[in-house]
Amino acid sequence: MEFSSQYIQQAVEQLSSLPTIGKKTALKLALHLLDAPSEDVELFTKSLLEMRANVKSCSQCFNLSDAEICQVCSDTLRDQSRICVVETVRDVMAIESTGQYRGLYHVLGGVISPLDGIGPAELTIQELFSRVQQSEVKELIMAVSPTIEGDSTIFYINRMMNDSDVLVSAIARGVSFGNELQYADAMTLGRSIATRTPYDRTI
Amino acid sequence: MRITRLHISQFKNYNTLDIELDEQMNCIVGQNGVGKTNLLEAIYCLSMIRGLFGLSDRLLTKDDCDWFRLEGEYTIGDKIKTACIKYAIGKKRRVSMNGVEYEKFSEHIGRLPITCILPDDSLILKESAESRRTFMNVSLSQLDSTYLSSLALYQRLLKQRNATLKADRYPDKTLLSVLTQQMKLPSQAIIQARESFLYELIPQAQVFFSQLGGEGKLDIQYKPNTVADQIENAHQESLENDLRLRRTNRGPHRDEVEITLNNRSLRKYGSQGQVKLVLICLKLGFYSLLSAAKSVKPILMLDDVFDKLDPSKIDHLIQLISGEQFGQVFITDTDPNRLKVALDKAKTAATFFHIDDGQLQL
Ligand SMILES: [Zn+2]
Repeated sequence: MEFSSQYIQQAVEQLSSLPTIGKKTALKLALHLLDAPSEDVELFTKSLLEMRANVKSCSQCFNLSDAEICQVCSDTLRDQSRICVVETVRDVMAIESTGQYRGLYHVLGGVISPLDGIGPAELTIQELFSRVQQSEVKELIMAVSPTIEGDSTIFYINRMMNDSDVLVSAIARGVSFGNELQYADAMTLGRSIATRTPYDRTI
Repeated sequence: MRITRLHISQFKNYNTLDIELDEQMNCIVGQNGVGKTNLLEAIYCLSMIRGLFGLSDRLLTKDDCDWFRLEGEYTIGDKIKTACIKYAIGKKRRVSMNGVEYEKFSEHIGRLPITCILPDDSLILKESAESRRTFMNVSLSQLDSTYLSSLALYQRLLKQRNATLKADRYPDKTLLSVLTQQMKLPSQAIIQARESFLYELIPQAQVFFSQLGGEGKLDIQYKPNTVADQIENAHQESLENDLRLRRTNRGPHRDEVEITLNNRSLRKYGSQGQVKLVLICLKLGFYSLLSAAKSVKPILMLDDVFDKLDPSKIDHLIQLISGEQFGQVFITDTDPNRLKVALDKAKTAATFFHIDDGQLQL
């Protein structure tokens, strides 16, 4: 596409670099922003810059947070004895949207796959272990992908917890989790957390 | 089971080919390199969703073309079925049966049972143990639908375990132990499937061996690298070795099969003729197992198998595969006369297809 303005061209290129945004949509958005009051556009760009500058990982659970400790971790009304272990922050959002889970989270950052260069040390497993040792956690609810690597991750964490009294359980494996967790409907996801089963400690 | 019509577009050296096939004996003749094997490969591909030699879809596509399509019409009992494979560069191949696309290709494998004997197959008996494992894997994939998934699971875990051994100076022993544990069930499934496959194959192959005038006692021994219920101990014992050599030393990926004639290793002492004959007997033995498992007569293909077989063995073989036990057969040969003579002796009617440069000569 050729534009009469290099500024529009530049804006369209930037917008179309976003996922799911094609050139046509990008142009539509650019023209919309061009027509909008300049205060609105300033607010728009400011919010993006502020998000980029201020959002960090919670030092406890690795969920997204504005502060050192995220809102979930600092909410004393939540059940401090349960941690739901997930792959990504999007999984936290999916489970939170069900409104049916009142425990804490731990974001691993992926699953164990040495073939892809991801060993246990590349994930936040050690941090999870220290967290369990230093707190009153009684149960880890594993909600990771139903893949070979997801299984390895569950087994691995289960082994790490062998000497503790912590119960490791897994959510029903009929639902999609991990990469697809955020798309599971709230009812199914809520139910699968409620009907989780304990993992065999001998494994 | 029979393939009655084959339609090929842009596959290997064929541009388009649309042929009606003989319900019994199909003889495909022509010079070397004209595409006789490619015709067999098209039929094989419709059954197995892979070529005969493990080539990528891109390389199965005719030069300078960017897609291929294969379609076969089959009669299975009193039903007519149409299988179709489409591939275009940059896209995933698509496989359908009666117009319904498969989500998992493994559901298709074994539905159009097929046995194929290739000239290079002698390597199964002469070369590395890997070729004998491949023979078991490919055979079992048609016989046992769960075998492929166990094998895929095992191979993935094996790669993960080897990657763990290579990744660090001091590999994570907990992770190694977890992966070993995960490998246990698929390992056992593979070992047990191979064990019972060879156990059932031996008597079948022996019968064919004597029918085809083979001399001596043919035997096959499965030598699993570890027995199924010792798999954990085996990994435990070899852990130090695994760590030192940075790879997994025990498990079904190291299984061996020993084939003997009069208790002497065929691999070491067999003549070319003996190797060829035993190979044909193993494949025909597999044909019998497949036929029994699927309750249909699979398609049998013999590609250039007559070289290094003496004429009396060729006569025996043609006689045998013309019999009740077998159904539709495809044979390729460069020498149409050799084939005609053997067929006449067996009083077998056949249709001849003369191929030249990817085209059917009428
Ligand atoms: Zn947190």
